[in-house]
Amino acid sequence: MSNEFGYLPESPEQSFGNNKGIFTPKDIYDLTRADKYTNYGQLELIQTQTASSAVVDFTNLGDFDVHFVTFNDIVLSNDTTLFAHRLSNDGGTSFISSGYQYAIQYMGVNNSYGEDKGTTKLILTTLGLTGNDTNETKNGYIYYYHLLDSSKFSFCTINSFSMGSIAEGLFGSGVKATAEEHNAIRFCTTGGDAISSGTISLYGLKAYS
Amino acid sequence: MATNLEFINETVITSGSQNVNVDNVFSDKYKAYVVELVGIFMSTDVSNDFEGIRFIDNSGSVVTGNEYCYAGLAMYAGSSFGEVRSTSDGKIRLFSVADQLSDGQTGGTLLISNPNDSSSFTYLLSQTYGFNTSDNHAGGKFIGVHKTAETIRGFQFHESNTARKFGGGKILTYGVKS
Repeated sequence: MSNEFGYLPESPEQSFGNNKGIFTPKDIYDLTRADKYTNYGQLELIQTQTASSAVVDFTNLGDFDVHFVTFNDIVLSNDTTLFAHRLSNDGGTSFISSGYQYAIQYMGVNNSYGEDKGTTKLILTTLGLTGNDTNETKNGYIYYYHLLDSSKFSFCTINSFSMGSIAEGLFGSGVKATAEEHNAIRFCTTGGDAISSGTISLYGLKAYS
Repeated sequence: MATNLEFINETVITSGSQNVNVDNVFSDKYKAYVVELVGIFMSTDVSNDFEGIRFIDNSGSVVTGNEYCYAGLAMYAGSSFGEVRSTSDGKIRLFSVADQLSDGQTGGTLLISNPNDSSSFTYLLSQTYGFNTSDNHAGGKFIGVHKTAETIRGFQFHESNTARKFGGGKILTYGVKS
């Protein structure tokens, strides 16, 4: 108990955006754990990984309704493979390799725009063009929605820009249309080749009820 | 330490709602807002595409006149994509396909610019996802504008068909600190 102005469990009432009093570090710790301490910055970094192997797995998703991922300067080892992602329903022990649907629009700087779509896909979505020469990297961001809600499907929306033999952008969305908890994300290539380098950061969007 | 995305409001959708109002969320504190539509579904077994977003003006009235225009791409996993546009409509389309909870949900991310500026139009950029048993997976990417310069203090997620009510989901609103 800090003092008469500090946080007391009974009074004054504390909530996000409405904290009153003077707080000790323990008060702040307790209130933060109870989601009752106002601490702006609702895009919370969960983990950043540097790629250097065939897959990059995120097995700790925290407790969020919406996740956000950035991928930067991704380089693939093989010139013909695509950067992609998959979900797991067993904490990352295995990753689902069928039954996805996605709809993506692609835009090339010197070729026709087009549709990449399907209802029986092996990956959640593609994330970038082929190409592994110098500076042929993939960059972009992804939102994931209700991955951890077992009553809903797991969706994503993607935006990416990459260099291959040409520069090309992608935007669209994908789904694993099974109502179950998807508690790990894998970044991989469609050919099983290595992700040679680049960074991938996973964030959660904090909300308060 | 403050960063640049600040939580403002969570609205939990009540089953049976015809429209969902998120009011008094825009202020002079921010110029841009991020809105997350999360896991929204129908109250009954019907494949639907929710009609879209309308804004709430400074007096608390929903702007229902043909003061909106929009353009976007409706993207289907199982069929050809389509262009959707209007120069004068009573809402901004998002392309949000949904169904009853067990058959599909919709959501996405909106970026809303300048709502609190009485001398500016209010702009919206959206990217959505969805699923229903008629369309399978589908998503949208849209731009829209409320082409009247006035102060906007909130928004409404809108469906006019009285046989197609909201079943649940939530809407999160954040301010983008500048």
